[in-house]
Amino acid sequence: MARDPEPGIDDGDDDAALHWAGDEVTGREGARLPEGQADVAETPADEPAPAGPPPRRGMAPLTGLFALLYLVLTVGWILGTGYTSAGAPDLWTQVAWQFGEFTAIIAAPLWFGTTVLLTPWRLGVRLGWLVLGTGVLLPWPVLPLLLTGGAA
Amino acid sequence: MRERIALLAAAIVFGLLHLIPLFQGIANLVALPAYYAQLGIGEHTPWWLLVLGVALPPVAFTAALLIGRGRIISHRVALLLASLATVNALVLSAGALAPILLAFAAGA
Repeated sequence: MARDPEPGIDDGDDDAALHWAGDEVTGREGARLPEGQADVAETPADEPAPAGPPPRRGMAPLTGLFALLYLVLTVGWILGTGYTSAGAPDLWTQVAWQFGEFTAIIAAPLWFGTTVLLTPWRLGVRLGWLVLGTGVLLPWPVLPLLLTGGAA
Repeated sequence: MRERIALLAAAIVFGLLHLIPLFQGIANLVALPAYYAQLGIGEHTPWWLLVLGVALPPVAFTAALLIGRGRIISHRVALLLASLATVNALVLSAGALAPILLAFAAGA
């Protein structure tokens, strides 16, 4: 529940916008900014940015695009693992198969994360690895779902 | 020295974990041709897929070690983990592709 401001407490914003007697003489007719804001407004816009590695044009949007693509691949693997089975009932095979399925689900985000981690400023190399990963990590087990339209 | 020991431990652990898909690939290479032969479709055995299933785990593990050379330990572990996950994904893909290839071969 919102509280009304307490009467008698003045935050000073209104006073800062007022004209004062004698402003016409001193050339300060306009509404005044608070001291801090005045300092910010006077800062030149073309001041050089802090030092750091030069960003590559198109790196962020392309990486974001591939992030979406890899998210789709991950969803595909989550759905696709429902169509795989170990084929043997013994415990060791089941455990190994479950482990394989889990790692297959996280393969796409791992590939994406590792690529982004290891290629911080090399756009071409990053794109190459991301394209390769898209091809390698196609979720083939999800094909029955796509063919049957979810009716299986 | 400590980093070398950690790297060796990571290589051993991930090497052992890469053995799981390798054994699965070997089991497929041994069992699937016999199964196809029993069904009378031995000529449709996807040999390239079976050989790929055996070759991929050691190739991916070696590639992860080579690409990680000269990098910090966390990056090398990330590479080994990505390699393991990719190999396991490809094992599942191969299992899904085999019946599709068989269907295509039977239909051709």
